[in-house]
Amino acid sequence: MSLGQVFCWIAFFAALAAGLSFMAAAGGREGAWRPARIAYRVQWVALLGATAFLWYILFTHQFQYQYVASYSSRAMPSRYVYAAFWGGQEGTFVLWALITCSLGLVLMRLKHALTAPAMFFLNLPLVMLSLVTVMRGPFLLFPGGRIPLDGQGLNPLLQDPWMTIHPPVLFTGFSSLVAPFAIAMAALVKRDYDGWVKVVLPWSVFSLGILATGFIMGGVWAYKVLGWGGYWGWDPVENGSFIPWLSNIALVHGLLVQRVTGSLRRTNFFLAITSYVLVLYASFLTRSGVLADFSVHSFVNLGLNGFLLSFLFLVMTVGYGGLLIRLRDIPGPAQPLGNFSRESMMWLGQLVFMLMCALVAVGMSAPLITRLFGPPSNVQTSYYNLVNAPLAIAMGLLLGIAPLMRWRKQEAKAFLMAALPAVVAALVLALAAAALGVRDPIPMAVLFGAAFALAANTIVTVRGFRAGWKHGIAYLGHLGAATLLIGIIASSNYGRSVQVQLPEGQERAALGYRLRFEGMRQDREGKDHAMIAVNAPERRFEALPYMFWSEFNQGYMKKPHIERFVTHDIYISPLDMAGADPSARGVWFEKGETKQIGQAKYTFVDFDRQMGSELVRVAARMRVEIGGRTVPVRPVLEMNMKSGIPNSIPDYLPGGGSVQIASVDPNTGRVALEVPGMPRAQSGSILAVEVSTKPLINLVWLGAIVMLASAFMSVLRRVLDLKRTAPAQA
Amino acid sequence: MNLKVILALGLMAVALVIGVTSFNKTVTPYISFAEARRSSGLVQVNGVLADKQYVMKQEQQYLSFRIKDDRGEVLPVEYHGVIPGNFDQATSIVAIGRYHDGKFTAEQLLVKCPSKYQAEAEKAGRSS
Repeated sequence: MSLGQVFCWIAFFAALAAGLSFMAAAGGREGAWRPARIAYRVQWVALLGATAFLWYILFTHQFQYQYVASYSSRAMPSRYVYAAFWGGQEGTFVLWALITCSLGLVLMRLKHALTAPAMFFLNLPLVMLSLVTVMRGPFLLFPGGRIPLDGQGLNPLLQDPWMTIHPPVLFTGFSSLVAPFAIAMAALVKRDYDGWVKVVLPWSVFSLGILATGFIMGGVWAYKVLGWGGYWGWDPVENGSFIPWLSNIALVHGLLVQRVTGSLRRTNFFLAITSYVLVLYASFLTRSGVLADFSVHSFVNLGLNGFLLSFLFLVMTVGYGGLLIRLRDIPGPAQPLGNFSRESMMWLGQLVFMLMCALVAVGMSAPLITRLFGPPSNVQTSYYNLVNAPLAIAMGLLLGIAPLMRWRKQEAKAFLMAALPAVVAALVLALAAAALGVRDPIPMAVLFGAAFALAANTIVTVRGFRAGWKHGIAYLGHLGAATLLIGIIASSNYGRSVQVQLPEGQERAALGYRLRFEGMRQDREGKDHAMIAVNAPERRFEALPYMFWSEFNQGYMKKPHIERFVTHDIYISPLDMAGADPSARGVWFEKGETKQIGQAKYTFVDFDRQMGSELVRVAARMRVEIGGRTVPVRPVLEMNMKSGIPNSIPDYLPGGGSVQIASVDPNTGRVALEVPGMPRAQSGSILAVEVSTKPLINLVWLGAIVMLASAFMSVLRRVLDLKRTAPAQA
Repeated sequence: MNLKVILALGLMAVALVIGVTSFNKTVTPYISFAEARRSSGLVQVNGVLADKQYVMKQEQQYLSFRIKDDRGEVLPVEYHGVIPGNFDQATSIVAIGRYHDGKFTAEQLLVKCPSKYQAEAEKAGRSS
């Protein structure tokens, strides 16, 4: 057994011990606290050990470990080796456990009656997670002592600075939702139906901010690297972290209402439990392989379906079961929700978030739902835009209305007076948008709502900050959200886009820009990029989108060029490249010649010819040395004598790459081959690109940054609140 | 009934109606070739490349090929648009589109390539 596996076992048993001791401590045995803390810390150290060991075997290239061989390679730049940690599912379970456990260390410091039971519930998923790392962890060796010479490497798509930090950030957010769940369960056990609000608020706001950070990093990566022009693709993985986030944001607003008015007690328990249930449900969907046919992501089924399902059902049973038992014991609202008041508007806002959450969840579960009635089907991504647009209108309006209202009771007349400036500002913005060409009713309505929210929150933010930063900080977040919404509507609905073919050296027009493809160039890392001279009315620039061969994916990796302006981006995304002349595409071989191309060594042995009356077949007998072994490869070129159409039949290499005859020279007996990793044709090629504009895309980034700043300052505010009420504690 | 309850019920009704109609409008069932021939709506079929006799015209962005499902049935597919870069190495092809006039016109192609990464991981999962 490897050292890593030993660490996992220690973590598992320490989690069991900690769980039992926390239970005893929660039951009132003071003596159980010490062993509970010790066991919990042992668990954390063991997980830290497992983490360190995984990095150690990755950096020392110990390919006898299946995980190391699957997700790293010798050739990989060292700054990406550490990211191979979370390159595969097995590693992410270790990461998930470590982050959950670290957050528990913070929670454990709080001296509060709820701490012991909360730690018990936080420890529950840790038992499950460390069990996974023991069963399917990243420390499994190849059977029979096999040691590959090199690993497979990490998907080059993931070899990007944003991508190396994005997964741990998203995982921190994902894992952190365990804290609201655990604190809510502790409150149910201890029948402390109001006291938990202050304890849970910093955690809940923290989850909100850190998950949003993860989304934004993922969005930046998608926009800058993937090249399809968007930042959010409604992919199952994105949806999977979006639905718990929506439920959690509903919880945050409910907690604020409960703190002021003493209502929504049951709702808040429900939301805290649901947020974590959704985390586990999304993990199950994306990791179980249920969606394998419906996503371009590779969802590998590790055989953990039963386990993930029981994990989900355990948390659902404990969570909803606990709530049901206490349901009648939880007192009703201290004061009824007002009819026309800030809290009633926040309650409606919660409803909007939960409706979004439900509709997105239905969409991502489509393959499961449709399986009940017939063949499993998926919804197109347009589904998500269709269902969320009307809700976004409601969200924008509520976002503006609620902060303008008073708690408990609002006079309609006074409200109208307060809202008037914001309504006027929103109308002006909407008219400006109409003048710029916004005609469709739904984007127009969303824009109006967002503009109203923007104006209203500007007013309340300024007013709030005058009274002290604590009073303005939440409104600042709303300001960011409204800005973000405007940016989303503008950039996704009103950009122009066209696909254009660029023959080398010739100028072509697209969207009023003049583009000339000037050939390919290699950068210092050996990656090819295209050089396109662009003559735009704004400025002249040289676009350098990447287009390089990837051994890993056996295909071309593309990365767009983004030319940034204040009001918009010009987005040039390479689509494909074709050589105009096939003979210029290949690498020429003499008989008996050997050449090293990419990671393999090719030797051309001889031709096999077959002459028919209609068909001539020429096969090239090749020997290829790849990954330490030599394999015969035999690509074929067929020529139909009547039609004169050649047909090239490739042969495949062990790794999946293909070898194909590009051309045969019968006079000299030479053959031109297309092989993986060969240099690109340097001339006579046609580059296909998509040129598009992204109006007001900067508002997306600006709004997102403002929202994040607000979220993290709110965490600080809530922590200060918690400390002030309990000065002797923590 | 007070204002906020009316608003809430209204929101829920709108969400329900839009949810159901959008779901029905955008759902693309994965169906067999025989079913695709009979249906008129947007559907999803998948299969492997039946043979290498495909026609690819980069400049016109045109592709026509035949796919074969696991029952051995063959379906001709036509596609206008940007051709996926590693089309000829596809282990399986998902085509989203409509069937009419004896062929399947794809609006979108998803090409899955031999991924050693996935195969290895599956092996690892089984052998342990």
